[in-house]
Amino acid sequence: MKLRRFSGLSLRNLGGRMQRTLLTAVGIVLGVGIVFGVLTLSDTMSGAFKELFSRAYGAADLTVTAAGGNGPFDEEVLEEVRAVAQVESAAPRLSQAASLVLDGRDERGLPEVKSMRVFGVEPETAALATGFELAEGRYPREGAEVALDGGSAETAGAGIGERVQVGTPQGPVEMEVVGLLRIPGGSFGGVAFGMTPLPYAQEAFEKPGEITGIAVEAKGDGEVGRLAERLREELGEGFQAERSETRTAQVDAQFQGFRIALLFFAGTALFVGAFLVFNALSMTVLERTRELGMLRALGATRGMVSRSVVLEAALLGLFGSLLGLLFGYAMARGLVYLFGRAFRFEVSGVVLSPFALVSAVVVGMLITVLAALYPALRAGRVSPVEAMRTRGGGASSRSKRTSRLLPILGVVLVAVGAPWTYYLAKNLSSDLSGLVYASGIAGVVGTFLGVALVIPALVGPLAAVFAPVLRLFFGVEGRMAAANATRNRGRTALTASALMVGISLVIAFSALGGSVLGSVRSYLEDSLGSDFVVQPSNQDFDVTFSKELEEKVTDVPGVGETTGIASSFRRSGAQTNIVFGVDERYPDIFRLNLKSGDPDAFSELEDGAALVGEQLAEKRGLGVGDEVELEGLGGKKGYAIAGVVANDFLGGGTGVYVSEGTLAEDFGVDSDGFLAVKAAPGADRAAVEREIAGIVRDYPQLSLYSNAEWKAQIESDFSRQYAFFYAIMGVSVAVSAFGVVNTLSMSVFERTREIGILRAVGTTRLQVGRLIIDEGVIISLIGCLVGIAVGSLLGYLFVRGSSAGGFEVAFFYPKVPALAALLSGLLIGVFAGLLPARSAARTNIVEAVQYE
Amino acid sequence: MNGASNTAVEVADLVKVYGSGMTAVRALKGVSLRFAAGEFAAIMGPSGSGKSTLLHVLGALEEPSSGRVVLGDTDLSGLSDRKLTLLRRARMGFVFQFFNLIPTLTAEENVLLPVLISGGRPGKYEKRLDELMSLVGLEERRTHRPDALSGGEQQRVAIARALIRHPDVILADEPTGNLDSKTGAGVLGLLRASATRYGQTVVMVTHDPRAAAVADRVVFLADGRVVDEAYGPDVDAIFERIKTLEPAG
Repeated sequence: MKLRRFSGLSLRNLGGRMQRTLLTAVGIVLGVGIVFGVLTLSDTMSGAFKELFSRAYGAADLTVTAAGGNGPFDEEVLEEVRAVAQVESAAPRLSQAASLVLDGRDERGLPEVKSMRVFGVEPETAALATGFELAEGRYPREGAEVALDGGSAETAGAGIGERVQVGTPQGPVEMEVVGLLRIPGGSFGGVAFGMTPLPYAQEAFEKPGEITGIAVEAKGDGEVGRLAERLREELGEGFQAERSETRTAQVDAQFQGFRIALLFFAGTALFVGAFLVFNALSMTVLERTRELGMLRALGATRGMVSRSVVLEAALLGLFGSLLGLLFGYAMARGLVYLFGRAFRFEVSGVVLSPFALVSAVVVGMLITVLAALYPALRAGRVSPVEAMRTRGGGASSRSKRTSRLLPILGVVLVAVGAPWTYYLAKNLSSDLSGLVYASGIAGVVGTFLGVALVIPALVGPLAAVFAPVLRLFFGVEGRMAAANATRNRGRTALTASALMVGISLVIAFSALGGSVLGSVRSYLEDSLGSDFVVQPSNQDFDVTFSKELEEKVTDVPGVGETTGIASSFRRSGAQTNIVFGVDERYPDIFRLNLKSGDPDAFSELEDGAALVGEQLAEKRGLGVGDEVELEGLGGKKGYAIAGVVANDFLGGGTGVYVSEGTLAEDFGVDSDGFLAVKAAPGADRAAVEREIAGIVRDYPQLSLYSNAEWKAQIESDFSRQYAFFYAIMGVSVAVSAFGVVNTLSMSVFERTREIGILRAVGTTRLQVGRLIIDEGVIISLIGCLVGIAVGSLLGYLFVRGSSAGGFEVAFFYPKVPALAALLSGLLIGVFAGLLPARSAARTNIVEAVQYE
Repeated sequence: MNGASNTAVEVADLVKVYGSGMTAVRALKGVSLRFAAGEFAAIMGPSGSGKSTLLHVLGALEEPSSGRVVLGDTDLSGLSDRKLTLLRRARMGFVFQFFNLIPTLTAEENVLLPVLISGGRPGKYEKRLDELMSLVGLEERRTHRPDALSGGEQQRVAIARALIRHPDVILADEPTGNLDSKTGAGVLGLLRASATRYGQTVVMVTHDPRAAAVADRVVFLADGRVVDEAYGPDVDAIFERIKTLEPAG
């Protein structure tokens, strides 16, 4: 194609320097890819959650539930609702956590189970009670009949007329499949879904005469608002009547914080990618100084020259962003898989929203063009006289003047950003709104920026420290490489900064994870007096078991103490509370560490008092003698605080502890979800474990863990969740590694003549290559060392600030990740150096020496 | 037009100082020269004599510290960078020592570059392009990229590029500096032809007496001043004159 206009030159330039173009585009491809991937992931997830909620709450206009949660209430309320004039129809339901027993066996030889939700419904109003359609068969009418979702029925290998086993608080029961339900997307977030007749569910789940919700259909569409009002009046304080969409919107809002955190990690990759573009374009401008001067001499205005560079960047951005979409799609699939694995949530299919597509491309192009502005400005400033110069232009003298001020500005930024991070981390557990996330991120970004400004001042000293070491290993090339790295200090610093960002995020993140895990471990070792725990296999909070189980376990010879814990989530407005019902044996097994309150504050629980977690007390300004207000079956009620718990492990610092009796009476929860068992002194633990395992086998939804197994379980859950975040952060480290490649090729290009002279005076190819590789190692070591330092600081602040899990978290230094980061610094340096080193080693001596 | 019409470009009392204070370098110390339309002039002088600076100022690439440059009837003093740029675009052509072709463009695209820069339609220059390509003898190599051309061919492309928009003045900076004598002679012949045939003023900086001998007039510069001028000198005379200008030693 013939060139038709001046702007066509930009495209020619990109095509003519394909290798450089691709190397530059890598940053954009990866950055846009991860942003798109993360957006798609969060679209997919929030779509799945929304679907799930809107389906679970049915096509009903309104849903009546107990105030502050999904607690059970008397089924007579149904008659009150039906008596309201504007109600067309009302469907009761009893929603209970259960488990579906599958054919397979897990690694311990126990039957595999799938989390399940069982809805007890009336046959006549079943269709209104939930949003799932009947695909085949019929709704259950009486007895042990179940309508099961199609996917789960297949997994369990049962068709209509066949039987499945379902775990209930009383142990497994057999149910006959009478219908198959169609669930959009094929799965209810990996949870099996079943409907049984209401009376049967009430019996099996020990909730006689109780339901957890009423789906209401209004007469006429315009009446919904008024009806909600009416129902609230009619039913009184203990109940709420919500539109189905309200719930969905709440889910979305809760998702927002997670989405912002993910985008932050993705954003760092894009930021590093932008840096890559900046570096590469600066290099291109430098390389083309004479060509640009010629264009100016021939009558191109400054604006034309600048615009051509911006246009080049825009084309590059477009090209990179489009490729990034492909990469991002693959990434999204991977992330959705990792997410599902980490949080035990199944999603089928990836949701591609036009918003994600468009915004990823727009952000990619925008970032590229922004990164191009300064190089473009410099291109415009190239003097036309450059066309006549025999030697490439000198370095700018401007940077020297500002360089003294910048580190000071950097220190100020760090001084502001880091404590801010600390402050926000402190509030993170109490307020998960997007704003808190966003400003926390601003604090972190400020810190990064500050450090990046300080790095140029560190390049000299650090390189001086490395030089003797490198000399030791690599001889004289090591010394020279150190000197070379300090020659273009700004560029070395920029490259190292990009690496610093990625590395420090990894370190900070593993510091956080390691500390939480470490604290969990030490809590388990120090404060937990039990030898075994029984808890839901799938960690569903509301899977419960009957008192009978605890009694059987207590009767096992060799069992010393047992304590069961029941819990209930209470929600009122934006506040969420977890309330634990504990029995009088609780302090015998869990070492209670009271921050304030009477030493025997625990005994006051029997009188209706409460203990609260330290974080909750701090957040709401509560102390001993105050009351903590909770919304229960009878509406809002205050509980006198007898003590503040410093080591509230179960509640993550925000738990409220009441007696078992209070929980049953005020919140309607009377069965336990967690059982801790302590062997009697001198008992044969192996024998005790065998016995208890024999009992628990009848409850497939529950698992027995020894302390060691439990610890291992928690650790593996952790690492699954962390793998997900590491995958995202890995991308930004990868992008910055490409930055090192780019910088090194720039160095090689600039020093062609010098390298030629070195070769001419007898330096071998190997030595020249090593010179370049050493420089790469120095740059990436600077980045990694500073990254480890900054990451440790951020990690420390975050751990201290958030007390991550909510209970007391000690700071555990991430030794292994730090070591790995150091090692990867070396590796990145070496690998990034390979290609540039090769081209340096192949420099033609004669041509290089003549090189203008 | 009036009596000044045969003066294509004129400089008066040009002074150019680089830097300031103790480190100031006075590259031009008051140079006045006049070049007629259709004249082929060579500027010679030892390194540091100011000949390159003179060419930069003549070509409106740099502004003089004091003194005037008048192109035709336009006084360049005090014009903005943008005005100077447009002036270069419309009325000047450049030939550089290192050819300065864009490596990603073909020979004819490089020739058309000034047209593209001025926003003109390349289609309109079809005939001019044909004429120039045959003038520089590259009809067969129009679609070659610079890296497929020899040094002499590249410089001929550069000359065609300088001529494409009929500039009043062509400024050449060591156009034969990177060429062997035979190809250099060809390039000089083209510059000669553009002065004679198209009536363009050619000002060429060179340190090669054989190149300078092709010119109508040779201006000798030393230490920022014009020290001598010769009309139609031969190679030996130029060589002798130059020797006396070189710093002793």
